[in-house]
Amino acid sequence: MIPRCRNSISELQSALVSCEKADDFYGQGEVLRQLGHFAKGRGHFKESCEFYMKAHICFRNVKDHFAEAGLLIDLGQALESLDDHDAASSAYRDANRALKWAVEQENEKTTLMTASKEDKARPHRFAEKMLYLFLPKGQREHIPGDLEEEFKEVILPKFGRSYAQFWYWSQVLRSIVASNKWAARFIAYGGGVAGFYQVAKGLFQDWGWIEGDESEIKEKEVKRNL
Amino acid sequence: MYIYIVGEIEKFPSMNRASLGEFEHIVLAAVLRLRDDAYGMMIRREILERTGQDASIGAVYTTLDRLKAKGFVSSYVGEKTAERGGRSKKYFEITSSGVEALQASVERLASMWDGVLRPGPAGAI
Repeated sequence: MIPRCRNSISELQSALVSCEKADDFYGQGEVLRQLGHFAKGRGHFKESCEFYMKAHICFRNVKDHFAEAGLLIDLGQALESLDDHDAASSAYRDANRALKWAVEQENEKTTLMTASKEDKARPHRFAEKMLYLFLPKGQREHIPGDLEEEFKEVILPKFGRSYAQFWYWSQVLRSIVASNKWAARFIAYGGGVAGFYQVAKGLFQDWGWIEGDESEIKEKEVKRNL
Repeated sequence: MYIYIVGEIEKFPSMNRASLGEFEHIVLAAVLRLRDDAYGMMIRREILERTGQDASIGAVYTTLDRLKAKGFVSSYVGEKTAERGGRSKKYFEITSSGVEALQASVERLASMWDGVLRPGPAGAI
């Protein structure tokens, strides 16, 4: 909750109480800043300094360094009005530091966003690894290169990220099957044997040809005795 | 379904030096059409545009490798580019024996169709 342009001190105080109840540090900081401006406008510089200090702590808690720097400048101006020039210059120094942090924070955010955008604009790494694992040696360089080129230049701009990833995966699986008979056989026969084993196990256990492990045998005995 | 998949795998074309299979014929024709720009993805695109057949890139490369083993195409490695993730292209060129094989294949097909196809209403055969 971010209160804006409160007209009376009672409105600001009630907003502050509700922000405190909701543990909304950002809202508290904003209300305290307005209270500070309110007090400063009426010539109560000492009170305004107190409000600014509290607001500064709130903004530091939520790591909003831009807001923190702005508040410290307001604090410095209020302190200058009280003729406390040492404290004012210290507030300005802190404001400068907060501003540097804010710029660093913004740079980090931009770097992260750029990295995530680059990640989204390329095929899944696992699919690429699958290709590398199952393709014959001579095709490991050219097939992934061709697929990535098509992915970036045609499919992604035309159909969007989700379809592009689906397309890439389908091409990976089809390419593995088409270019490596042994991999295809391994997947097909391996899957078949595993499936057959599961079905046979289920059937034989139902017909009582396989007794199962010790716990199952005990369960069956208990049931028989009952 | 399972039997179908296994059957499809076992139908992989075998090495037959004498003739061209249908897909080999198509791939060889695509290489001939593309001339200096014949690499995997362009060949795949050409086949898709001309025949509507959505072949996988793996199938194209497997066929090209087979054609290379038969001596119908030659290959050379091209430049590495950023959009390919720093990987190089593999260009293919049709050889003179490849052109001869393609012509022979076309002639064989034409001689088989000769006298069977005749113009008429609704393309009567």
